[in-house]
Amino acid sequence: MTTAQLQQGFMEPVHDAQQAFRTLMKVMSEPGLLRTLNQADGIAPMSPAAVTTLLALLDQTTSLWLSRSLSTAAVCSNLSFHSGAPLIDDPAIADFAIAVPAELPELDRLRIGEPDYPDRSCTLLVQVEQLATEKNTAASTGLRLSGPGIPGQRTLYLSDPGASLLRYLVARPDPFPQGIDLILLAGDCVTAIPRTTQVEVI
Amino acid sequence: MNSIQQQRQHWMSVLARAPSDLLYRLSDEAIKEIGFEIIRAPEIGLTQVRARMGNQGDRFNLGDMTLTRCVVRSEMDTLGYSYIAGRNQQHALRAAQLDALLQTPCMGEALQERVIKPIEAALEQARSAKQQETDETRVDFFTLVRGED
Repeated sequence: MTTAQLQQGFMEPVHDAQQAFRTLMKVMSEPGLLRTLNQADGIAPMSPAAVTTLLALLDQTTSLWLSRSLSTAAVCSNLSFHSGAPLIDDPAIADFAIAVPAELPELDRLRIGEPDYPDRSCTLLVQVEQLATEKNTAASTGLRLSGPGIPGQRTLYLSDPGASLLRYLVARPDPFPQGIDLILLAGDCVTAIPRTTQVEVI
Repeated sequence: MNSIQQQRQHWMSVLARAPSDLLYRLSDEAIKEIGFEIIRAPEIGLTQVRARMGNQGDRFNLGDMTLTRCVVRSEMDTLGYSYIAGRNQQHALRAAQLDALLQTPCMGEALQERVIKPIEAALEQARSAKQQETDETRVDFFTLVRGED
């Protein structure tokens, strides 16, 4: 690790972390809602929203798995420095996993919690190219979401999130309340699809 | 442990223990024209202090103390760290800035002379004054046998 790679995390560690956490609570409780998350700067190739989410959620007791292209020296040294989270090689034991669509982990290997402790599951973060409420050329995959936190239905458009992820979201193979929660990130934009949400691909 | 590391430990310790106003007075000039990037803004937290019974027995938790830490990067691309007792964020920032500069070949020597040595002298003076004050009021119990004699 060279010293040149370290950069500032949150400017105001307490307030920024709280604001980021509040935003994540909001998108988790109202799935498909888009919110801005940019309290921390991005660390190429990781977007500001991804860095902010990780800095707000990680600490020494939560392990993180990074997909190959996100696992650069700069990202690893900064995340270790600011959060102290152990970075691990095996997604099957990770508390958090972050990936780009082309490098998704095998979703059936991620932790889904236990029937008595469904909270002991992996939270999957996927950094996509774009998230939008309207269909456009980049965000061409449409998802129709319904379930708790959504009045009626909500539609979400995003760039290709990877075929295995779409299959997982539509099929929901894990026995509820077990499952994985998904946070989608693009630039400084965030949304979430928790395990309670039913997903249809439009 | 190599000597560079020992030297750095030494100056970090001196900077951490320095009286704040003396530290600012000695170093205002030196850091004035240098740019710093803040990596970890001064933040206050708690740390647990552990001790050993009689300094050699079993370890136990003595208690918590407040601690302020800070990390900066100088424009010469050195990282400066500081961990100081108490809640003085300005002191932590200055100590980190000086730690970064002390690692540079161009300024390290000069700062040792202008900042570290005077602070060390002041700390030593304060220590010996305290020692002297204590010695003056020491009570010798002649009627009791002390040690081996």
